[in-house]
Amino acid sequence: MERKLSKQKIALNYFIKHQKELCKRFFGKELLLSGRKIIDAFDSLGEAVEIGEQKFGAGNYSVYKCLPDDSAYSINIPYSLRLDNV
Amino acid sequence: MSKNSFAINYDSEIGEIIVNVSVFNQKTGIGTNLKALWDTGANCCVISETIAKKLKLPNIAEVQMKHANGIAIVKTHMLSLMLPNNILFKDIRAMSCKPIHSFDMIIGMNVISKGNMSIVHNKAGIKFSFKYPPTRTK
Repeated sequence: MERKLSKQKIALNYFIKHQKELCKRFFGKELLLSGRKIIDAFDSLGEAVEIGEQKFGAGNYSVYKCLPDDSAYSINIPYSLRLDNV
Repeated sequence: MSKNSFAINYDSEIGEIIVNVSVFNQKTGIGTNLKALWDTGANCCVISETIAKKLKLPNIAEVQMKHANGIAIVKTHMLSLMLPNNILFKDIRAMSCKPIHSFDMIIGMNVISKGNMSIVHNKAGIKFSFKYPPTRTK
């Protein structure tokens, strides 16, 4: 079923599943993924995005900051935002 | 007020804080002026998907958005944000969504926490200010 998922969805699932071990290796770094593949870790988001765009093109890479809590892959919805805005 | 800070004065009670900002695509330099809501209830910035498409902001990841009815998967983008008095932040994450009420952006804690924000009552009314870099107390 994963073949039907986008690379970004695959990367999100991979990051959540392996967050603990990724944080041990790359704590605080911006981690560049393409699907389940770890490409590299960078000090800045800008560097990671530049490489991601160059190597994989729009929508084919993901960048997550290696932090141990769910703020690394989730967002709290602002109360000012209506649910049907999503 | 120093050039790395800005303030907005209100005569009376504040319902919401809306600031005029500029948002840029870091690679192309193309940007636009927006009205942004300051929201300490958001851990990340939010930008209208119309603006994200117009500026061709890079789509950098999908993330979970938790809300009362469950979890949605949303896109996040990278942008540069300029606040009043030329306070510039690069490498800012913002999720995109359909256009929001009367403003195009929400400024969340990933920006707010970078500086000193204050709301002070004085004789003239209420003053909201933001300073970057932050003044660290001893």
